Amino acid sequence: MKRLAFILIPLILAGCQKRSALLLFPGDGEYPTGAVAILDPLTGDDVAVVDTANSEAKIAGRSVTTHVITGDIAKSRYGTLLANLPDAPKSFTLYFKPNSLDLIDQSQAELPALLAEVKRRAGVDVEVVGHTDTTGSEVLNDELSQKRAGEVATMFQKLGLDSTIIRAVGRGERELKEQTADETASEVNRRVEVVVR
Amino acid sequence: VIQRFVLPAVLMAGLATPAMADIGRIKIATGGALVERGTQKIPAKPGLVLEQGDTLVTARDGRMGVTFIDNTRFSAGPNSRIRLSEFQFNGTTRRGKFVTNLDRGLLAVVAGQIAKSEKNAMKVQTPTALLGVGRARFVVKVSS
Repeated sequence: MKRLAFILIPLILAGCQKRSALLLFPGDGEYPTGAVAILDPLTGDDVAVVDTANSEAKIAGRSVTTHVITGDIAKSRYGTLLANLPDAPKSFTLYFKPNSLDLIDQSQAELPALLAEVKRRAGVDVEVVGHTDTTGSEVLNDELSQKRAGEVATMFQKLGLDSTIIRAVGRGERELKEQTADETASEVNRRVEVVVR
Repeated sequence: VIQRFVLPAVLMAGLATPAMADIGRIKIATGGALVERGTQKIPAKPGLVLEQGDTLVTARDGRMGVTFIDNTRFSAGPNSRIRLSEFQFNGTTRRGKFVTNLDRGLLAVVAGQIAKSEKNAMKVQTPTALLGVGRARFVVKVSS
């Protein structure tokens, strides 16, 4: 009896053993292949890095075996899974007339496409991200960009968007569209980015 | 049965500070798909707002697509259990931390801004693996 347990228990444990696998997809024009690190579950240190497109890694803690798969694995094995990825967020950039909330004509002309995108997406949410140029202090620009984003969010509500799907955020001068020295006025950098998800 | 689950979710959404609680939204839900939040089981449907700590659960015929506020996208396969254990994201700095536990099943990930912000800021944990996610697109599978 004791001997039987000795044989059976490891077999049962092996049967219950969960296995994990990782498959890295190739990048495309907009998106790099990138990398996923396999970490030691205890220390968090890198055990291996998977950075070759179409690599498959089988992982059990620190034990990793990797091989590169040939052929179009993504479509044949994971077609339905990938089809159920939501559409990539779509971004629109709006510019304003100096010291006003009036959009320049070109941005005004983009609004119908933006609103159509909002309408097209199921479970949509919209992020309004304000950006400033480098005039003024960073703290002030954080406030200014947040305020501008809030004003644009209000404009969207007036255009019929539900307030619960809109989020307004200020990025200050952290993400310049054109690189300038500090304290430089720039019509290009004073903008609002609208991300439709 | 559905009504009983939906109502508390709506009340919660009204009470919570939306900007703080909201980490992403369900965009696609088919078949048996729900969100576990504490003791609540909320039927998954497009537009449902997700919170840190939520668990995405799909049945054998279930699938779910989610977009998070850092632009990370998930597709959950059938028979899957995915815990959104930790999600912090600062909209101003675009930095944060995102830990997902894939207890079972299949998960496709298109990493977003958190993964881009710092090495290992985004992690996926399975019963046998811990992954540090860079700006990549991949599938993780847990089978027994």
